[in-house]
Amino acid sequence: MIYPALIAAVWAAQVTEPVYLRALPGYEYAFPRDHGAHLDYKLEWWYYTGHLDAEDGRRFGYELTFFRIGMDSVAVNPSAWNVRDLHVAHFALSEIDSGRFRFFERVNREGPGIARASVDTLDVANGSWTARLEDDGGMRLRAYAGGVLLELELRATKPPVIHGVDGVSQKADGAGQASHYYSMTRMSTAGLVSIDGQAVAVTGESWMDHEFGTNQLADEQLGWDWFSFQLDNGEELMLYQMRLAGGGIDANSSGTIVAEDGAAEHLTSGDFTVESLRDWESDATGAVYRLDWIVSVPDLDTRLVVTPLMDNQEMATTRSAGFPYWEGAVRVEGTWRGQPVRGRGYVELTGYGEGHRPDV
Amino acid sequence: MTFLRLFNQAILRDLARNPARTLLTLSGVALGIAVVVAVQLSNDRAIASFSDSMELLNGQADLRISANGRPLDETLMGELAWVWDVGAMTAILEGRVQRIVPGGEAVFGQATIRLFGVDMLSEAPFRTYSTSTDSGGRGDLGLDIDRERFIDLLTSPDALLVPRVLAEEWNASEGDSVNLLAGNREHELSVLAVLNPSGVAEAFDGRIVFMDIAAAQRVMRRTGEIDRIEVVLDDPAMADAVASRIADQLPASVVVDSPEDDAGDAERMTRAFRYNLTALSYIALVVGMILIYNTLNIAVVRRHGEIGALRTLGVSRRAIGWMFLAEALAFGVVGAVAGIWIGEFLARAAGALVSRTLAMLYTGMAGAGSGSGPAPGLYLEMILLGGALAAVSGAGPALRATGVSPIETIRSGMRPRASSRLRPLAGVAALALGAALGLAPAVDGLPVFGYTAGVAFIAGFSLLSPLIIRALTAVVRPVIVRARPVEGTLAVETIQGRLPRVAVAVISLSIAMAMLASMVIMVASFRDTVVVWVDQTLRGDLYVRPAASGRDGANAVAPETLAALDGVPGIEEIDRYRRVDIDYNGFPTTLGAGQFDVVAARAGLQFMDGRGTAEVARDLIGHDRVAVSEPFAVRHGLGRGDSVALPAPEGLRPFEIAGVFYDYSSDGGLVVMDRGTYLERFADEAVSTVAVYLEPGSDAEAVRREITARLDGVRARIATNGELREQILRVFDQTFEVTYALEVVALAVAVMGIANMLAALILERRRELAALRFIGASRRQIGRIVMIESGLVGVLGGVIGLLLGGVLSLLLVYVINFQSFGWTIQFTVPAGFLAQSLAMVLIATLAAGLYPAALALKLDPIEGIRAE
Repeated sequence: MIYPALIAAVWAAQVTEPVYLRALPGYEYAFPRDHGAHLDYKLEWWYYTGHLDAEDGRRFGYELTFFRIGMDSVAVNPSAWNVRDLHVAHFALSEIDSGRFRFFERVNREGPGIARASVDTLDVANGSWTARLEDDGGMRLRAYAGGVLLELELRATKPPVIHGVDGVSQKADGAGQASHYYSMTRMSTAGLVSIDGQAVAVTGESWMDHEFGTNQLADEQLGWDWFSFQLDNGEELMLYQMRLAGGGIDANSSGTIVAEDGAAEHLTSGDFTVESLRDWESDATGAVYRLDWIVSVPDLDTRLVVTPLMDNQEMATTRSAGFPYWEGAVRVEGTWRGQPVRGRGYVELTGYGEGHRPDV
Repeated sequence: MTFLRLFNQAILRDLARNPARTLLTLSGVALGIAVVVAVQLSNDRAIASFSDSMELLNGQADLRISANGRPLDETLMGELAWVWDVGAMTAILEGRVQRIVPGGEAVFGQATIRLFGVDMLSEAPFRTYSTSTDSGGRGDLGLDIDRERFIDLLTSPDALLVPRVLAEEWNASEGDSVNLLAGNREHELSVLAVLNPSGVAEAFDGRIVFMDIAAAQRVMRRTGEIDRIEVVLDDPAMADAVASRIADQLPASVVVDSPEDDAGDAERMTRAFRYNLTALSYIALVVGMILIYNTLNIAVVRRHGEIGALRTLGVSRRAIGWMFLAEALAFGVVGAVAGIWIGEFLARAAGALVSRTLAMLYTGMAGAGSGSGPAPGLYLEMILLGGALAAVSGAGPALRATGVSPIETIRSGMRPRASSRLRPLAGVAALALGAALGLAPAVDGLPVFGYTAGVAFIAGFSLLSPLIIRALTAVVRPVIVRARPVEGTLAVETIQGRLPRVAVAVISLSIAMAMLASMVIMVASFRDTVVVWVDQTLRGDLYVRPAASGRDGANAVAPETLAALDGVPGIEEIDRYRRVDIDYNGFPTTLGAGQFDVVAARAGLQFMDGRGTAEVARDLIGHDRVAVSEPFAVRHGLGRGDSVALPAPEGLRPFEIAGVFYDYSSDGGLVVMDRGTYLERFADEAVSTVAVYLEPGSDAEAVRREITARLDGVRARIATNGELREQILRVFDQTFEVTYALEVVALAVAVMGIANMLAALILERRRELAALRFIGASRRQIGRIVMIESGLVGVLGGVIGLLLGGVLSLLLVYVINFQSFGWTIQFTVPAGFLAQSLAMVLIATLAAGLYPAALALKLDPIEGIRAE
């Protein structure tokens, strides 16, 4: 989950004061409709991360994310260029073996076919980057930038998991300071990665988040740490912690455990702890992130050591998100319900460094 | 004696002894060079300003996708989504706007301002903008503006970015609203930010405003349309491959090219105009050359004795020759250096004129381009040019100096040289050559031989001028002698006795006069032709256009305006005319479509083969046929029956030429077809101008008021026939302002030459005049003699100039203008104007005589006679 800071500006500068729906309890999901866009909500994203193993033994982590930010829902101008929504996309590839991290971004309006987000099904695009639900149920991702091509087909192995309580993933105390948030927590993935014309077939597992809401965060929240793990026992874990300005964690932080059969178990902030172990300073932005974590769920006799596959996985984006963030592939090792376990995952860290607070 | 010492003693001291004359010669040369420099700089700057502006406007774009003058369907952006893989892509919508006071009208002649509509989100790879009040700027968006205002720029339908120059001119700052006329409507827009003069905000001297493309579509009422798509490639080396893939995918009417071609377009479009201006500027230089010749010749003659003395002292002939050649060179080089500075100064004044003219005729741009100083290359070029021309003009006198024998040291005064008999023969030969060259065709569209013919005619007249002067003086002598028996006789005798040198002065004056006369005749002929043409073609009683429309014709008359014309009492018929700019074989060309049933009955084009419009209209209506203007036919070498391929939406389509008509609206060329054919083949229902024909007896003013009253919220410009005609002629007259300015400078140079020559005559006749005083002539009589001489030179120069000018004007009208622009012009002689010019020249020469006259009056009779 990520909140491009442009929306902060959108709030401040709203001319026509559009009325957006807020994420409130009782939302009824229906697929594939809910894979599509929800234009009545201000902020929405489709968020893919995954680990890929290449034929030649190389390992990759990838992120491909599409954002839609409502700007002007009450358009007076009939022009197709009218900026009703801002479409932002991020694409990153972590080459685990060489330690090289590449990221790209796109900021566009829908315009006459520049970006899109269908309201009927999963069909989002930004320039030539696309994510689509195919007729056969597979999701197809494609992105190319700066010599890096990603073409993947994702097949869900579990049904969508709806986070939170009663269809709402609460972020702060106020009503509606929340989002509707579901994940496809384990999708078997196959396709190809091409770097500078050298293509290689890859297989692996992906995670998809789709989240939409309006005005979710509270003033005193500084940023968040978000974790997604795919464990080798067939279970998954998602956790987020909203960090408070004065130190400490917002009580609205929560998580979800997804069982092998897809059943979801909600965790509240009291159920888990996250301890970060060391500083890592970004050369690009000067931000100091906390890496290496120990995630504990005491009641479940669970303790996971989480280690980045490489340190530099910072999205030093400047155009789209007003703040840089760290979004990286990690490996997981430890105890799960008393049993030894291994796994892979992705971690997202926002609000680190001076002026990098996503003031949403 | 070393050469330098010799040069110093024999030449420099002499020059120093005669400061006024030295200065006059230098000024003449300098002015000549100055005119060349000024024209060169103005031309260069006007073109550079245009191509710089286009470069700034095109930004970093490697490729450009457009539809040859027609709008592009914006959904092409989606079809070309793959291009995002190889680079960045953006869309541009352009328009023209005019600032008005709220509710006001656009002022005729006020330059339009470009409206540049861009996708502000995608600008970063293409162009950069910098705002005056940078608060937390973000260069990565292409615009250093704080986020709140950036969002405003994206979402508000009336946000405008205004370059500082324009903001200052409008006295508008951030947050202020300004009223702009765009197309058929008035818009109140708001200045969101003022742009620093850097990057794209410098284009067209800042006479450009920027909007987000969504707002621009709204203001221009062009929802769904864009003018072009631009592409910046990650790897520019792929440009050709990407371009051909795009071209393969899109309809044939879509053009994929590189923005670098723009500067070439401007250059090609204005080439003939600039060439002619440059050629004209060289006239002033020719006059300057004659001045050098004159001065040196006088020096050689005057210092015959001195040269002889040097020869007896052992100075070689060769050294004498080199000495005078060096003097010529010195004049040339020093004059050139001074000329560059003066030229730079002139260029600032002329530059505005030149670029305004170019703007009006070709590019539609405004602004002279403040420009940098002259390039170092220009200095060298001008110094070499000045030196070379000076050497050529000094060669004759220098050669003559080598012919002085040591014996002549004894004699004082000069020995008249036998005038060569070959001279008149050479003169006749030059005239014959000129006539032959005048018949030669254009070279690469430029009248190179035409100008060479002009030079040959000038040479011919120069060589024949002693004969002509002798004959003319014989004619006027009785008149002068009768008026002033004593002074007149003396003056005429002086002229006749010193013919070679007087001839030089007369020639330089007559060349300047000839240039003026020929230009006056050409312009007057042209103007008369245009007036007749306007009479024949502009027959509508009212002309209705959008309130603000640029040259490009992209703006169309609003449907509301067309509807308002329906059923207005007094209107009998209307002709909906569409014009779009297309590219034909690399030349910007106008494609027009009118209702030929109406045109045939009302207006009437003048076809070159003499057929009536009705007859040609029958050929046009219902067929894939066009009529083309004379400049188009001449430029492309096409005629009746030939086929032209025009860019229709689905690709090039052949049309047969049914006739060629006279047209003076643009030298770019005009291709017209019937509106029915246009609607069918080009699927464009827009109307650029409506010609309204009234019922007999209707009042144009009343109908205009009625139409205006029916326009609800829509703005249109409605001109009566008379107003439009006046506008056309005003544009015409402004076009020739530059030409006149150049002529005046050439004339000033010539008048300096006369003062120079007369002063030399006085000094030479010092003793003679002193003797006259000694034997009792009054100071007044001496002054009168000099003034009569001046007047006589003026009359001679004027009359010969008129003769030569007559010949040159034929060349200009029938050869140079036709070959440059393809216009047939009816020859007329503006006798009154020419008489005025002659009178002006006379007054100027009389004024030039004042200095030598004053010189003569100062002569001391005693001292003057002492030498005898």
